[in-house]
Amino acid sequence: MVFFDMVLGSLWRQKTRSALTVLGVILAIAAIVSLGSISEGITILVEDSLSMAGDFIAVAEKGSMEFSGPPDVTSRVPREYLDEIAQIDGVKEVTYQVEAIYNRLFVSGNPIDDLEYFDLDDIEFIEGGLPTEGEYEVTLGYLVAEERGLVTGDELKIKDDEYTVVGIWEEQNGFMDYGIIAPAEPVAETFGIEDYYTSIVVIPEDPADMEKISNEIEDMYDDVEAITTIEAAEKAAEAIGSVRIMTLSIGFIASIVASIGIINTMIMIVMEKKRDFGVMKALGAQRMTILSIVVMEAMVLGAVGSLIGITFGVIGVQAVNQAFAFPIARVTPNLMILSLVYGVILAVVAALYPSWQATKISPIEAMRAQ
Amino acid sequence: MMLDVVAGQLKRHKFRTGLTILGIAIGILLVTTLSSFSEGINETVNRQLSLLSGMVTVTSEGVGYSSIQASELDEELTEELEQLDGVERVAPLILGSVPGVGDIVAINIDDVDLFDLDVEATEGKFIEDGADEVMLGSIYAEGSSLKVADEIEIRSKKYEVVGILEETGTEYDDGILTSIEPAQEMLRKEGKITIIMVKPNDVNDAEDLANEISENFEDVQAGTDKDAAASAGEVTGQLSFLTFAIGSIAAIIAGLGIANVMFMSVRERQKEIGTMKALGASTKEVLGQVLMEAIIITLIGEAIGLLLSFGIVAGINEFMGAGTATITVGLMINVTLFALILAMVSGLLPAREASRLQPAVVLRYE
Repeated sequence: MVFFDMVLGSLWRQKTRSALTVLGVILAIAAIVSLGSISEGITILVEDSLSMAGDFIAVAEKGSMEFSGPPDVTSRVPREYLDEIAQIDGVKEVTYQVEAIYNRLFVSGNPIDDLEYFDLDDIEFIEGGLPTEGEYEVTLGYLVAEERGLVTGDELKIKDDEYTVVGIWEEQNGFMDYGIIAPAEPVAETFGIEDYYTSIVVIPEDPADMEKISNEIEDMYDDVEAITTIEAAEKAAEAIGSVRIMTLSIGFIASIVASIGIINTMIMIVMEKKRDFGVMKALGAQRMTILSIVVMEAMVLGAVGSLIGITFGVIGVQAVNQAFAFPIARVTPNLMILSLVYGVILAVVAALYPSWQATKISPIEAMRAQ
Repeated sequence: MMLDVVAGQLKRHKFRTGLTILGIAIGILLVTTLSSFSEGINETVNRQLSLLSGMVTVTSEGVGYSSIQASELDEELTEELEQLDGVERVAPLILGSVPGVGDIVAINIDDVDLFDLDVEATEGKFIEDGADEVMLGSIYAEGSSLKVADEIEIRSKKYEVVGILEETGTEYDDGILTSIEPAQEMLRKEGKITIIMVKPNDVNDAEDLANEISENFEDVQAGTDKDAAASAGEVTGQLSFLTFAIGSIAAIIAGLGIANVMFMSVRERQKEIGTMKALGASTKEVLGQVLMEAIIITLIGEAIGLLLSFGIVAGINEFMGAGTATITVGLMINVTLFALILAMVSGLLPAREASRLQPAVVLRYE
């Protein structure tokens, strides 16, 4: 087809130039994919831990829930609040957590029977199961087990106490991958936690009442704050937003520079083909036809560059994951499709000025100029 | 003469050259701005390290520079260390953070001289040992609405703001300064401190003293300022490398653009170059001329990018607090070297093509 000959022909004639331009696009798209995958990975991590949580209200000391994820372990909520909060209208269940960090381990002490409130039904165990109420037993996140080489039946020393490993969770992409769950009493004993809990968890009768109950709790006490899982998700989204802006703006700037390369290449192509375009116009070609030839050429550059760039980006992500202790970066199909679309649009936008120049070529001038 | 030829060539394609320069400028802007953040961190770290000079730092075993807040020592250790031979002074230090409030720094008021703090506070008076009083760091004070004589509530207890510190360029600026006892209460670490600074009688004994402490006390590590500098250098070095590597992507893409423009420029001038060679120009001269063209494009772009990044960094510091980002002389030299290498690499292949042109071949037609 003549049309395609015109497009691919001029790209093929100057191979070095086309290759260099495409290489620019490849680098930019690869940067977007690998940097973007980091923010995608963080988003998934946070969203998964939130969706795992279900509908409840976390009550912790004021100021201790600045970040998404578990509240600060230094939070203290007086124990008597538990019964008082249970009396509030619309509250179905209340439970609590005693948490501490020891030797880089996030230790979460829970009344084991109450764990069912957290919709943990889907979670599978690699081995074993949950600890027994009141016993010095722990269930490990899979990363903890991997890092420390622990299996069921091993002993884990926490402060001065020995805990028996009774189970290992499967990967959940959440914070519990890095933590351990134990019954509340032994944990409180081990860490000398006496008249307070780290946090109180409130399960409402009806999720629609969450906001109302959380306001009521905050009205009752000066020293605690109550955050619903919805609010936590909003806060998390905010935190992720800034990471996303940071990573995307680096990729965006790189792509701008790559598009400058495309503009330059297209201008040179238009200049070289001045005579061709002149002849075409003299033979009655529409401005639109000439415009689309130039735009198509740029699209080929953009599409080829993006496809190769995505491939390299995926390889780059593997490297990033190797460098981090845990595989945080993730390439989602969404990210790949968006990068491809972006790369092509970028090329089209870059071709606008050169193609407009091409349509302005006057046949007489073009053919006179030897 | 050579410069005339180069300048003439660049002027001939103003639009193309302008775009290429713009690409380089954007690339340099990105790498400089990103690196200025890690430089800012670097400078803060260095200032902090200068406070440690000649001292031995004692922390919990296994704690690194970036995890220093995790260190937890028994208060009694201070006295035990004081008994050691060759120790002139010991000073406990607490570093921590309270959620919703910020960073807490605590020292004994008698040790103020050791930590290089100016007792002549900018505003108000200095805290007293054990009293429920705090002083605010300069940046912290700016970010909050608190004034001298106000009260600040930390973990349901009220503390009086007695003064605001002068800017020091260290972590005091960002946090709240108080004495040891109230800090232990704020952080809920009764009887615990984060770091003990040990000043030896003779600076030259620091190394031996550090070894002695590490060996004789359980779960404790001691290091000299040199160890601290090495540990900090490792962290900041990695950070600088990472930011530079990520930031250089755009500049590298711009380098590809230069290569492209240079190839075009060589191909358009085949006859000109052929004639020059026929008139006796050496291969080296032709090579040099093309390289010179690439270097000039790059350096103009680099200069513009650097200038713009000064503006942006000033904006960042205005917005996020002084000292967040800095463009040091070292960074400017690095960026310039990077730009030069980029120019050479991207100009090399086109220059080689130009220098290999045979006058007899390119001048054959017509």
